[in-house]
Amino acid sequence: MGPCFVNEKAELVALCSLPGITRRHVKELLTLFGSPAGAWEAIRGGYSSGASSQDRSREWRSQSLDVNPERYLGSLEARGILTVVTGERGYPELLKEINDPPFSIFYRGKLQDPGTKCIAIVGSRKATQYGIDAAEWLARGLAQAGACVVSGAAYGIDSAAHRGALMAGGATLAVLGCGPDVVYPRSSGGLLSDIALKGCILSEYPPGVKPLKYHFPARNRLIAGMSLGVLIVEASHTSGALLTADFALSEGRDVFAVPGQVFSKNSEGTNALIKNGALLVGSVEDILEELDLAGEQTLPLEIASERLTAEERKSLDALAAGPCDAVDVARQNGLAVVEALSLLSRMEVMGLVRRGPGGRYHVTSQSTRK
Amino acid sequence: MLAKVNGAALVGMESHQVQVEVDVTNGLPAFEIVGLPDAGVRESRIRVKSAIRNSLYEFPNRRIHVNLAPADLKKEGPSFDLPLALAILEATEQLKPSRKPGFLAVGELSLDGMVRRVPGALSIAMGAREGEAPFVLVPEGNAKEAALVPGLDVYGVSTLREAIRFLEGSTSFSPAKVDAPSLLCENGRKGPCLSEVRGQEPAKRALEVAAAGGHNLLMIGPPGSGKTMLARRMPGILPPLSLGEALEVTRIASVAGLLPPGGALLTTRPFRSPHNSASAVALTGGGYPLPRPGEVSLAHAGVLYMDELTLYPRNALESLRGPLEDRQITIIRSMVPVTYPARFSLVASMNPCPCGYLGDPERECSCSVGDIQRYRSRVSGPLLDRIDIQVEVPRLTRVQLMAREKGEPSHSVRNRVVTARKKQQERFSGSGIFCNSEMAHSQIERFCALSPEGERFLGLAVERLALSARSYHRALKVARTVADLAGSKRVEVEHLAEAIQYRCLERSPFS
Repeated sequence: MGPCFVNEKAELVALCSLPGITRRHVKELLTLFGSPAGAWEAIRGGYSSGASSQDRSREWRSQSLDVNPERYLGSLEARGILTVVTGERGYPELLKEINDPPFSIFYRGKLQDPGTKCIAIVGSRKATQYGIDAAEWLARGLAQAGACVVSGAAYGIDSAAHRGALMAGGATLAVLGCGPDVVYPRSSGGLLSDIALKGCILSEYPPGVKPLKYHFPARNRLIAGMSLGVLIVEASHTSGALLTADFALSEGRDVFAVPGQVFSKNSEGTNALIKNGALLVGSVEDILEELDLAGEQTLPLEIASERLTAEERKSLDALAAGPCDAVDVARQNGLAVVEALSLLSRMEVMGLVRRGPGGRYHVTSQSTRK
Repeated sequence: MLAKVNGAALVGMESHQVQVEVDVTNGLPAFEIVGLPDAGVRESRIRVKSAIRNSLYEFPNRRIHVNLAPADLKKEGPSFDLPLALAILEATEQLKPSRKPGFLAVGELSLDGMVRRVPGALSIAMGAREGEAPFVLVPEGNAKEAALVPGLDVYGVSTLREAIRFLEGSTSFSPAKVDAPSLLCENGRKGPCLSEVRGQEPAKRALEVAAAGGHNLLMIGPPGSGKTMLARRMPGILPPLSLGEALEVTRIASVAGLLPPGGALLTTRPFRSPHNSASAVALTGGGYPLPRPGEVSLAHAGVLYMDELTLYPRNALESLRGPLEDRQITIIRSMVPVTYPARFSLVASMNPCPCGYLGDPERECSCSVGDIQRYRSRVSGPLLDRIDIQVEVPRLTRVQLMAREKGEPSHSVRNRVVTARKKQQERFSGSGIFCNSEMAHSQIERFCALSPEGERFLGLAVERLALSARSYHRALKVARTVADLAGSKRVEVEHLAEAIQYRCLERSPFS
């Protein structure tokens, strides 16, 4: 890559980092003035039609006089934030194909190799335990099969997907709706630093940009755009995850969905997707087959080594009909409530059941696979 | 002429003897009180004057100087009315006492010469015994309470004239008598019964474990799930009050002026439920010039129930940390530090989320994840750290409610609690603590030793359920209590398994 291109990249990155600039503004500037250098020249000269207000255009102008694009790029790198722009090598292949790819991408960590298959796992932030378990389990399977799990680092399903992939030692990619150095949600700080170490955190927004409401639909378009297919684990019918599914459809990517109980509000969206033709996912193999990844190595699911006692088996039978609380389990097993509490807790530590809200237990993927 | 009668000033729970000195001299008529009296004491001039006149004695139309010694101690309240009136009458030679001098008198006078009740009579009587007063003269309404002090003659009087007659040697008076132990047996069994709560067996069990080990308890559940109902039944499953505890409870209530009229010993464990608008000072105690007991002390030996824990002001919640740790509270105001006991069981409740319906089987929760986290973060980590048991109290559907049994009555649960407490007393005898919840780290290591199997199980649990280090020790303490309830010497896997269940807030996906 010649010095000329390096210069042009720096100018483009700096252009995309102007405060409040949108992709539409950049596009307009580039069409009007031909190149990032031209756009800078125009801004320096006071061009302002793209800016939304007087203040903003003054700000851009002063920035254009102060900022040295190359030094700016260097300062980003010094802070561990790397960039890749359209047309550069390393720019995600699949992202190029979407309707409006970002001009430049800011990222921390290591961008996955060009050949890696990316699959997005998204869903409700306020997920149920079932959704979290399913997301973690499927992400683990996908990561073990060598796929990269893409998600949005939000609460609930997103975090579970990242966690699952990290647990399997696989690759994972978090697409943020804020600058790549901004920790949002704040409680995901630990997870994000893990991802930055072992995977990649990526954003089309320059460092320091706050997570604004309208960034998230745009972020969802990147999640779908980066991936071969999008798996929606849990979504109510108003969930943002459905937007991601729409993007995936409009870009011709596959849409997968995990079915849920018909009574669960959190599964309304996914069940509707399945009704409309999304592929029903009951195991990792369903996704792998569809995407022709089946040939790659898959590891067997972890199975609890402990042998089941009669009581445990009975409890699992009682729970098979659906989640219920300790009192119901006690009654069906003829145990005292105290005994049932202790038994269920032991089974939870063994990984056979999980406790959900309201003190109701349900069986896990492990126990159903026996 | 000069006369001296002893009164008493309360500083916290302690009573200080105060000498009321009266000098009646010639000069322009005046009535002056010195010795740091507050407004209540200064107003006694009016009451004393009218009470003496209306008792058909003569109020001297001369110069009256009153000194309350020691002069550097602040005095408050109307309890100096009676000694002041007696001293004036003695100084004017209208009263010639024939009883032993050095006695102590307290009481508020009304204008017609009646003697009204005063707060803190029990503490005053205790102080009088320590000061070796020959007897005390108290208002009739305080006589039973003051008579709880053994080895001290307490005489109740209802009017000023009666007090004078008594001091002049009338024989028709006999000291008040109260049989404290029999009072304790008589009405120790009151209050609502646990069998009135349908369903909620896991929560009832948590209540039992909390009572047995002296653990603090947090109940998390939607509105209408029965959290308050359960909490109100907590005093009923705690062991009955011992005589020492009952005296302490009575003393605090007496200082706070909360004893029922004519009441002697409080025999049931207190249940205090301050509203969530309570300030930090209301909870810990305070006031001017001398600090009064707050809710933590009023709940001493009983239950402090804080409904909707997240709605209390942040600083009020944080102020609980000290008393929860030290089991007493020292309040320092301008004049003196005052220490009140505060060994209470904290029972708190909160909703799972701001709207209250997270995890409800029938209603949809309308909160965002951020809302829920913000709501829960109002209870700080250090405070949660002092709550060993966190339990979910789900709302039952009507069908479930009808199907579920009534369960055990309070007294049979209490029997198990008493047995478990006895074991703990044996275990901790001489170490200065009484129950499992008070164990320090070294004691946990000593008394909660696990079998290798138990170690492995707990390790696995910490890893799989993502429990924190502090949870680890909480779980061990609670497991010790569960083992005590089961009558087991060692802490086994099943006890641990039950104990780790009681960490539900920490394990929630929103924390």
